[in-house]
Amino acid sequence: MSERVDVVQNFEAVEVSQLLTEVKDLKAEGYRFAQACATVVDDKIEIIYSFDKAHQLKNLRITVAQGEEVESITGDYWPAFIYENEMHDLFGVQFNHSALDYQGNFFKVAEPTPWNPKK
Amino acid sequence: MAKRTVIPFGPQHPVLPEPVHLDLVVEDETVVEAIPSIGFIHRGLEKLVEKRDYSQMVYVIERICGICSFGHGWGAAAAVEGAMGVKIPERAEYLRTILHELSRLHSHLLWLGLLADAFGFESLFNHCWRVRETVLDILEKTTGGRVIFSICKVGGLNKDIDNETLKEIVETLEGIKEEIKELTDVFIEDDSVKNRMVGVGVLSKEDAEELCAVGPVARGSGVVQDMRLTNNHGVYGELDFEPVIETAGDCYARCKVRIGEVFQSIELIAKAVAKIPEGPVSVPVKGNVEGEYMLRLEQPRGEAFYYAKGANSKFLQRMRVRTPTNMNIPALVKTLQGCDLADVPILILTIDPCISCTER
Amino acid sequence: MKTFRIAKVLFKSLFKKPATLMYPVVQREWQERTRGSIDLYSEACILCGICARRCPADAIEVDRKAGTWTIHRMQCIQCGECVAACPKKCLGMNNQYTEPQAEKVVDTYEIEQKKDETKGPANAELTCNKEECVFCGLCAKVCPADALKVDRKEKIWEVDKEACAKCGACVDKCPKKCLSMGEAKAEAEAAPKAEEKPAAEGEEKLNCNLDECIYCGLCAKNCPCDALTVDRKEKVWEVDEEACVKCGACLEKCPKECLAIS
Repeated sequence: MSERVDVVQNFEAVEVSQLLTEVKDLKAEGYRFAQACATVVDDKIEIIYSFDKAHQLKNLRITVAQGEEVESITGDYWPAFIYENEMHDLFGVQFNHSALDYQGNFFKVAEPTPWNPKK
Repeated sequence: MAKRTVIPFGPQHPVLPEPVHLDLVVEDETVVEAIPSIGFIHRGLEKLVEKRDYSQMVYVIERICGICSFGHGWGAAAAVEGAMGVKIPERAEYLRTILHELSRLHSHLLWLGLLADAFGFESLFNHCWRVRETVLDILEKTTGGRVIFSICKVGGLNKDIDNETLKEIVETLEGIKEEIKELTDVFIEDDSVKNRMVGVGVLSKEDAEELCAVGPVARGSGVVQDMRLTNNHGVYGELDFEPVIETAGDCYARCKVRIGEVFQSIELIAKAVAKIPEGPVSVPVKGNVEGEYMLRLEQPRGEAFYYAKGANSKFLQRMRVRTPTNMNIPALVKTLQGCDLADVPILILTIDPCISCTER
Repeated sequence: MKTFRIAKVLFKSLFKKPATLMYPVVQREWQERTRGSIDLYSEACILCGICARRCPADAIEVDRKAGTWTIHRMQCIQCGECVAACPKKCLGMNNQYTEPQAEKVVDTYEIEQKKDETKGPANAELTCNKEECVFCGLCAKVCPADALKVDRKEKIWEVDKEACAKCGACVDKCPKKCLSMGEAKAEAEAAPKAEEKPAAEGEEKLNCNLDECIYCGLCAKNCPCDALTVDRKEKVWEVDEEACVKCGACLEKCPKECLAIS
């Protein structure tokens, strides 16, 4: 009989500089990378990384100012390349040291960074 | 040293009528590397939240995909309900579960047909889709649409399905069970089918975890992962739900998982119909959305994310949908390495890619 | 060795009728619930434009001046949102699809604008007779356009003239019949006699004849202020004196007529 899980809403704010350390900790604890998404909040961009372990969810939230660069987590979680390229193409967030960087060619968009408020 | 060639595969290609492109680096007949590229039809549906309020958004999100449309509508509605703190009636929760399982049934039958088509078994393909038509008729009778149901709304459901109809549904499904069994036996037992699938595209349990695979792909590799085991959507807790797990990790195992789920869905629907309580199917919802909510559903293709964030307005600030195919592309790229060029279509198909979902 | 396992299925289908229809010679029968296309029953339409605003696909256009209601058939996604939102229930969903065509189909209906005496002229404005108003907020709750703002404590009743579609849903719903379309007297609007009200109201009280009451809970469901508590099992009927505005919305709904304000 598999265990049933009550998923709690769990958002944890993290400094941009601390992101990689936190992600490494989660990886060591056996978490699975689930998704990453960006939201525009008052000209800044909020990024949520979700991690799953035994159906329980942990969300890390970072807030990135315009032009600020974020360290890529593809070193630990390679599948994150899809989300990082997506955020780069739509929101214009710059990720450093990506394991697989499409350099803006992941989505075929008519204009660069269409979802960024600054364009 | 064999010579390396790059074969462009897609966006128009022999497996799917959907645009995914792969650059296959081949040595003789063996694929050594595959580089995926998507984004040919990115529609930006998520951006529409700025112009459509949350109740309209459910209809928009539902149109992300024509196969898992009910799950998308449910996820969007449930995420908004979660953010607003709305509790929907129990009958609505049961009906949503039943409709979601019906969607899974027709999705898996569609996939079985496509798989047969991918290895050139035309008659099996046609028979799978013939049986699927019965499920579509049920959906049309209960919701009014064959693939897009527009029955889910924030606060419950638009229409009730009476108990008589529900009993008829269970009887109809029991009736086609035998037909489905005859077809799935072909997949499981026929040598010509097994030759194409057994031992092809093996994804080990470690790799599945490392590459964060979801849904039937992960379950085919022995990972116990099914969002129906979580308690924040549906009534799976009351239906003694147990995920279908296979351990071999090859195409055959993934096919067996889906076949198992076809029969499981029929069982779950029968159990839910037996237990469904009387009552209303919706609660009125008015006001603005404040706060955020993250919800996960088990779509036919795997775990899907719905994230709603509102800033005290009728319009959401963000409605994020992450579809299962997004998460299975890394696993696909990994399994493609070292496979035969002739097996590429089957491998792509066994992750059950839905590019329309991915390109919201 | 198991080959040709599909033989059984194939052999059976030799003796069966085809699963497909000879379309278009044989037409498909649609289900009762099939969402085919939108019907407009134009007699009841008041051109309020709520359908156009609710439509997720922008398929409906309403022109009040020209008196036309237009639907872009090929843009319509048959979600049924307009049917649910229409305050006059003049939209319906039928089960016949729009015929496929090379040109986009646009249907325009002429709506005869009624000069209804009770609703006033077409350019009327919604007004509230604040002498009568108990600020129950029922109007704001039923408003399909969210154009009304009611605050009980501050005794505020405001209408957003831009948003108001003049559909009259609030006029029909108002328990005190204090809402009207362009009929309010000038003095009533100028001087809301807020001070006098509490004294007069103080003596009034909502009562329930518990011998008659069947504890159906309809009163509690229709109370705009959530002032009523009804428990069927425990046979409890309670009114929160603080919250009750004596609007009388519950009286209208009570099937046993056991409620009274005295």
